[in-house]
Amino acid sequence: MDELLDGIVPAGNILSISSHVVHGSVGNDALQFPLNLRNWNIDCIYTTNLSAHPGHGQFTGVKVEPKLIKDLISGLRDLKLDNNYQVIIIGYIASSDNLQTIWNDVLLNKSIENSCIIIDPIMGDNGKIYVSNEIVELYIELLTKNEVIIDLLTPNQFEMELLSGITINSWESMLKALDVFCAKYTKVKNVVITSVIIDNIMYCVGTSNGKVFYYKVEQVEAIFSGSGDLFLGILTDEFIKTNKNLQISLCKTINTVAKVLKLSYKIMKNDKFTSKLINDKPYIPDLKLIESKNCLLENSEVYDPVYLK
Amino acid sequence: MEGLIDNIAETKSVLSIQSHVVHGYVGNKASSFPLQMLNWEVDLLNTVNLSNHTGYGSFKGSASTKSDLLTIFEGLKKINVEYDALLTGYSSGYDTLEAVGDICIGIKNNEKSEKNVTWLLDTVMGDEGVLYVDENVIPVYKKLLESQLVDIITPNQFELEILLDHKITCLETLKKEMKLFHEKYKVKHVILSTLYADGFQELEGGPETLYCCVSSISVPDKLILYKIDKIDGYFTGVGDMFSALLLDRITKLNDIIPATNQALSVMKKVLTVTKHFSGKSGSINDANMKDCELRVIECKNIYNDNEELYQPIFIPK
Repeated sequence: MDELLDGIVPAGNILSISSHVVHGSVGNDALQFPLNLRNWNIDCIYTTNLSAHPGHGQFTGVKVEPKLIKDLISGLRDLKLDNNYQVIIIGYIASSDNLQTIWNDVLLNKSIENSCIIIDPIMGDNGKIYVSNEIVELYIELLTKNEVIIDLLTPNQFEMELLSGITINSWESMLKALDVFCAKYTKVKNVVITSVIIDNIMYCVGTSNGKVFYYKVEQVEAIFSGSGDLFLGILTDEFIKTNKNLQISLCKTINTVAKVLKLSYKIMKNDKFTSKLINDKPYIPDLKLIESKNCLLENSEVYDPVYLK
Repeated sequence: MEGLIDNIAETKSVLSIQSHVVHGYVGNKASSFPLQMLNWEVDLLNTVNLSNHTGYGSFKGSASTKSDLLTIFEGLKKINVEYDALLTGYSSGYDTLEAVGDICIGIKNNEKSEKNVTWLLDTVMGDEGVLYVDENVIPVYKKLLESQLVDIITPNQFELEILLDHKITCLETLKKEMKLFHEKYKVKHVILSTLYADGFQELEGGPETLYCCVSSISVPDKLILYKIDKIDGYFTGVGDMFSALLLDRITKLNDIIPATNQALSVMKKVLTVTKHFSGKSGSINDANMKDCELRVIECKNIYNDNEELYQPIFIPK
C-alpha cells in the first residue's frame, strides 16, 4: 500500500464565503470542485441557501442571517480553526448586514493576518446593480477606510466604475479609473478587472506593483452563469501557486476558464434547457464542471500581456 | 479543441441530503467530492449548517427546519430537476427527518420523471451503543422503510439493533431478520457496515475485528461477509463516505459483491492515507482533532480504484 502515498501532497486550506444553491453551479458551488481538484480543502460559509440561482427562472430559499454567519465564524475561532487558512475568498454576499459581519468578524480579526485576502466585490454587471444599494455604499465605505490589506480584488468593468466613479469606455478612461482607484483604496495590492469591453472586444485588465496590463479574452458564443465564480476560484489557485505573479496567474486563468466554457457550450448546445437567449446568445445556466475535470487540471499556456503602463 | 466532447464520461445526478460543516469532513463534505470525482453531479441539501463536527467538543451553527427543507424542495420541483439517485444521511431530529422522507418519497413517486431513482438511506442514529440523534427519529426511520421505496440501507450493528428492537448475537437470527428488510420493506440491499466479531460465536477474530455483512435480493441464498481489520485512530465521516462509494459502485457495477468489495477497498486506502498524515491517532475532543479529518482531497485519485482487496465469505441462508 506504500505506493498509495506517492505524489500525495497535503492539501492547502481556503475559507470561502459565498452563496450556496442546491441545484446548479454558482457561488461556492462553482469554485469548490475546481479548487478541491487542485488540492485545496475548501471550508465554506454560505451566504445564501437557495434551491437554484435566478437564471433557472424560479427559486426558493433564503439569504443566510448575519447571526448564523457570526456563529459559524465564532465556532471556528473557539477551536482556533480560523488561523490556518492560507486564503480567504469573499464572493457573493446577499445583504449589507452580512457584509458588515464578515468584514468585522473575519477581515478585522488578527487571527487571519497571515491569510491572503481575495475579494470579488459582487454588485452588478453590464450597467446594472443587482444587489441592494446599501451593499454598494457599504463596499465603498469599507474599502475607503483602508484598514485591511486586500491582496486581490476582482471587480468587473461595471463594479470598477462604481468603485472609482469613472465611466470606462476607452483605455484612457480605464487608466484614469485605475488612478482614482489606487489613490482612494491604498490597501488593495492587486486588481483584476474582468469583462472589460472596449470597441466591442473583451479584455481582462490587471494592475500590480504600478504596472497595468491586459489580455484579450476570446468570447464564447453563449452566456453562462457561474463563470465569474469559476474565474475567481482558478485565479485564486494560480495566484497562490505563482507566488502572487498576477500576469502569469491571470493568463492561465483566462485560458482555463475559456476551455471550461467551450466544453460546457458543446455539451449543452443541443440540450432542451438551452432554449433561452440573452443578448441573442444561447443562455447556459450551469457550467459542466464535472465533465471539465481534465480542462481544470491541465496546465494552461502562458504568454505576455500587453502593458499599458 | 475538436473532439473535446468525445471522451467525456456520462454523468449521473444525485440529491445528497446530509449535514454541512464549514470545517472538516463529515456528511455532505465527506460524500460530495468523492462522488464528483466519480462523475456524479451532486446537489447538496444541508440538514444542518455547523462550524465543525461534534468530535471537536464544541461547535456552533444551526439545524435546518422541516419548512426550510420543504421550501427548497418546492423550488427544485418548480424547475423540474430530476435525479438518478438520492443519498440521505444524518438528520438531527424528528421534523427534519420527516421532511427528508417527504422529499425522497416525492422524488421517487414523481410520475413525470422517467428516471429510475435509487435511494440509499443511511439510517444514522448512533454507534457502539451511543445514540446521537433524538430518540423520536427511530419511528420515522421505520416509517420511511415502510414506504417500500428505499433501495439500499447501510446501518451499523447498533442501528440495525435499534431498527429491529433487539440485540443480534448470532448469524442465524441475522439471516432471519434480513428477510424483514427484503420482504416487508422491499429493500434491495442491506449493507451492515460493521458487525463486531466478538459479539458473534460463529465469527472469528477478537474485538479489533469487524465484518461488513451484505444481504441482497440479488444473492437470495446467502449472506456475504467481508472481514476487516480495524484501523486504529478516531476517524469521523467514514460511514458517510462509505455510503457514497457504495451508491456509486452499486449503480455502476450492478453487482453487489464487487460493489461492496470495491467500496470497502477504497475506504481502506483512504483511511491508510489519512492515518499516514494524521501522525498520532487522535482521541475525541483532542485539540488535534483537525489532524484526524479524512484526507478527502488528497485521496482524489483513489475513488475510482477498482481493486478488490477483500475475500468474500459466503454463509448459506
